[in-house]
Amino acid sequence: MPRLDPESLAGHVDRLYRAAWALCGSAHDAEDLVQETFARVLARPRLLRGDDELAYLMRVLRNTFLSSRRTAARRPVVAARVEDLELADRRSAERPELAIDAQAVYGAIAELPEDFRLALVAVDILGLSYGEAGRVLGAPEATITSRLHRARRRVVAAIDAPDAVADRAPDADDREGTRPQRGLD
Amino acid sequence: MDWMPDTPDRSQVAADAQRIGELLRAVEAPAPAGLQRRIADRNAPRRWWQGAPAIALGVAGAASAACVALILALTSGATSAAPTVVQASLVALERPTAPAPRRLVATGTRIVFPRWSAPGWPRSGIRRDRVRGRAVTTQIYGSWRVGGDYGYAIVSGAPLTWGAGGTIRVVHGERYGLISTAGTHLVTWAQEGHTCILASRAAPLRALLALAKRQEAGAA
Repeated sequence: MPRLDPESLAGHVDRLYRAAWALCGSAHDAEDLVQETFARVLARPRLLRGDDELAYLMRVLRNTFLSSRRTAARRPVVAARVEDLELADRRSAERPELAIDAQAVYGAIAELPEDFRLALVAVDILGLSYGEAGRVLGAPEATITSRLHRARRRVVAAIDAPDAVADRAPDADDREGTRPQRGLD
Repeated sequence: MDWMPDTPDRSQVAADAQRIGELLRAVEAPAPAGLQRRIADRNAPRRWWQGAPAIALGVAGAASAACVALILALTSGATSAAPTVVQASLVALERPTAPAPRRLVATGTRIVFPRWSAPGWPRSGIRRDRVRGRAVTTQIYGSWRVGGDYGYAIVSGAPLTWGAGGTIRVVHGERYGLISTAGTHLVTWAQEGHTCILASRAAPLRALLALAKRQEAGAA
């Protein structure tokens, strides 16, 4: 059984950070989440059971995120906090329109119901296959596919037609996903 | 009607997948240097359980990570010398130092200020400043239509970070930052690679946003 190589983890920090940002909706919280994820992973030698490193990291990231949510230590922050962007996106200092995009995109993902958000993060941000995402998230591949389509539709609509999204009534999609909690603390 | 049907249209699904890919590629932010450094530091003591060869590799890896962190830190430092939108807006709210010319081009740019010369949009003057090495050209308007004076500043050079919390408003594909801080309302956007700021202590954000949209649409 292969062992997780700590040396190779550094190559995943950027992607994991973006995934965490999309989960939390806040660049600051994303830093904390990634750091805590790596702290858990590096606490002792790990064996990979059928996962590659990225899938394993996604699993730990998800568990860390959910447990931190349960303890209300973190909550999704959906409102744009531009000072986050200064810290998070080096390019934003030169091109604020990119920074605006970053918070808009990650913020829109963070607004998704939890199941949708996790599917999109696993596949579109971390690059897992549908099958890998299904194994990590404990859902059949078909369910991942469905969640992913709905998640993408919502994010695209939120970015490209924000007024239409803001005006829409709660819909049937919400029954499947779990909406992000706000104001936990 | 449901916002999304149970059986999504295939072309819609494909279009969304493509659009998401575009969006995510456009905002691929690297992890902050501080986070990279903290993870590299945390990783370093772990290497002993992998044996001596790993220690050697680990040292090289840590050095490499430290170099990356240093480069990022230096780069960030270089750009952080630029003013923020909030800082640049302070001069936009000062009194004019010269009368408004017939045609005003912002220093270091080719952007021409709008005249907004219709009744209700009088220009009260201009000023030219340097804020942290950046040229800031401001035209000051006094208008009862927006509820008071406001300054329209254009900061030359690479666009600025905001320096305060705010919200984003996308109008017809253009992105505007809306900031309220210390009793001042600001609307900022990027134009031709420079930073435009509308600032006012009296005018509400929606009025400033309407002006910004006018300017972007070339309707001013």
